[in-house]
Amino acid sequence: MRQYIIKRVVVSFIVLFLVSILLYSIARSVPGDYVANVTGGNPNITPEMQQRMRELYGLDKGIFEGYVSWLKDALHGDLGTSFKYQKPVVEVIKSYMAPTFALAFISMVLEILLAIPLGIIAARKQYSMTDYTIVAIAIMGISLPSFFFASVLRRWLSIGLGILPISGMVTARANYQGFDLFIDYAKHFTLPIIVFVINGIGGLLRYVRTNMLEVLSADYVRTARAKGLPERKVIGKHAFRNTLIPIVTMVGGMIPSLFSGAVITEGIFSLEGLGRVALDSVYNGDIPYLMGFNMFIAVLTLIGTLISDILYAVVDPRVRY
Amino acid sequence: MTAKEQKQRLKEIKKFNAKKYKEYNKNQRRKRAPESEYVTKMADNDNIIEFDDLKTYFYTDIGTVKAVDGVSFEIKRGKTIGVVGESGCGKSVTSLSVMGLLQGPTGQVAGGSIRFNQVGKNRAVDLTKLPVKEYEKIRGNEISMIFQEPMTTLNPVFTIGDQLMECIALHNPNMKKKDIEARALETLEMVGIKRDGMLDLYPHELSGGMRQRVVIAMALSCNPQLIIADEPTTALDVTIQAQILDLLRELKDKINASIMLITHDLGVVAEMADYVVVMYAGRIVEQGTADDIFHHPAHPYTIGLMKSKPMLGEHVDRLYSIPGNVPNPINLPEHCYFKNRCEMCVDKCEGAYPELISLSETHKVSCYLRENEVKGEN
Repeated sequence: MRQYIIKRVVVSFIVLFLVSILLYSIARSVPGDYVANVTGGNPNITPEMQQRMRELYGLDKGIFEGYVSWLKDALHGDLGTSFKYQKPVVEVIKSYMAPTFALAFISMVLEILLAIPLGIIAARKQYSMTDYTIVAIAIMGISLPSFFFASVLRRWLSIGLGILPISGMVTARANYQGFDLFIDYAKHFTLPIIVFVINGIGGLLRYVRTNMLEVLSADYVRTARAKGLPERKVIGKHAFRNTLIPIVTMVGGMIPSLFSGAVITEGIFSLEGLGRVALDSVYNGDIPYLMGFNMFIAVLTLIGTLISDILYAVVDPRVRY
Repeated sequence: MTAKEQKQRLKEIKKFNAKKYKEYNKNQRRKRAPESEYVTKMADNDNIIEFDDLKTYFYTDIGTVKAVDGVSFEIKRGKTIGVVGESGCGKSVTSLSVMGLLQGPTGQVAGGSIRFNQVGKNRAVDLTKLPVKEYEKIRGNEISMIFQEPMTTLNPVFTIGDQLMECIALHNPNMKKKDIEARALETLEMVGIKRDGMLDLYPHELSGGMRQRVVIAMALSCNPQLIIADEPTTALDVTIQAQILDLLRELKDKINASIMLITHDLGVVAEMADYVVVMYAGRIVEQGTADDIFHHPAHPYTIGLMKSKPMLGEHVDRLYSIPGNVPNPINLPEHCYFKNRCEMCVDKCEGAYPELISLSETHKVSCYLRENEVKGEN
């Protein structure tokens, strides 16, 4: 097991290196760099000034040279300074992480808590009205564009009934403190979380349902019934432990999305999270931030797959590394 | 049939099935029922189980499949009965009907009864009318089942000990944990695989033969009255087969149980069974003692089966095979189901399905060919 993990970590570093080359090349190949973006349309800027700014930002170097200098700094733990925020990239990520993480974490927990029982119920009552209803809702969740669904919810709950704020993270100029502030946050996050959960639950739910169906027709489930176990235990113990195996891998893969954020959802509700900042940085050509953020996600992805592989061995005794 | 008619027919089937499913689901929701509904009397108290005109149907989208259609036989206490027939003749479905493990709501017992003699409780119950909670007390306890595929019948994520002790704990709620473990080890010893640390092994760490022994240990752990063995040796290689059969026979005598042995292997039946039931397309075509069936087969199908069995010391270029296939289980003909494959047909075979006739006290056959023999004897 330990050897396996060491091997995986080494491979992960190689993957990270290759990913960083790819990311840097793509980020630099995007037409219109940061300087062109900020100075565009300003008649007082001369091409010489632009050139000086490029030298300042390190944008005068070619892709290869630029990458080498980025990599040198990165290996020393310095991810550079964000062009736009004029702060170290790590600091920028840190300061915008909380809302994204809160939104994604709460949504993920809710998704798991809802998708697994609903998927199991749907599988147990295959082809019944309950099954059709659950699957229909799941498919609607997958297919509804989040911006449209968000608009409908806001029209209904914010404008119509007026019980939830329409956007933002806190009520401006209210200066809430302590518990009141928490409630205020909770109110602002309710709508984004609903949109997030409904949009994301479908995939996991259908996955659980399909797996459960497969497991329910397995021979060992019949054996469990033949022992005289009550149905509750047949499903809850024998079938569930086996459906857990593929689900664990899927949940491990969801970890990076905790931080990458829902760009669109954050945009709609004007939440100051990583997703929105990342989108901005793509528009602006903020190379250091873009690189820092993408590498952060790449690391999380690798950690996520490693965790799911380890969990896989935990839930399935047949898997040994 | 035109496309329109066909559509109409499928619609009717769907409507009919929906009605059946609804009834089934309604019955399934009843966890308990008054005793008067399911307690019956055995026809003969010497029997452990009596099948009386059992009908098990599958309501599928293309029509009703009569997998078991009017099967009647009984198993005496402490005896082994072999149920033989080709694939798809209803052997396994009969056994699943006993266990109440049919894949519902598609598969249901549509008629008849299965009377089970609860010797310990001094009463008999009709398994087809048993409510879920009562069934759970019988399954694995008084009736247990050994399945065909040892590779897949054990749950891969739990240890052998877990699965063995679960069954014992379930049916002996007052037993202490230590006693349960002792009992689990005892059953493993009975099947000859007691070893240190055996209880902590996972199924994938055992060979096929050992897994089947674990399955047998599980089936025996609560001293059942009736053991249903659904092709217990089919998935095993020949040397292991003999061992497993010996083991079954030995253990049966030890705990004085009856065995319902389902197989398509006539050799196994000859070795194990006291009585034999030959099934074809969901019906019994012949039944009798092992001697009746093996030495005086009466039905052309049984005769065909015997001929298609390889014999030691006899040289044949090609093994005999019964021509044709089992008829489509949807829309079975009015006449004898075996007619189209039979080499001994008489004019009368065009008529209705032949009744079971008794050739002797134990030997029964459903074939027009033998009618004269009975009359001649009388």
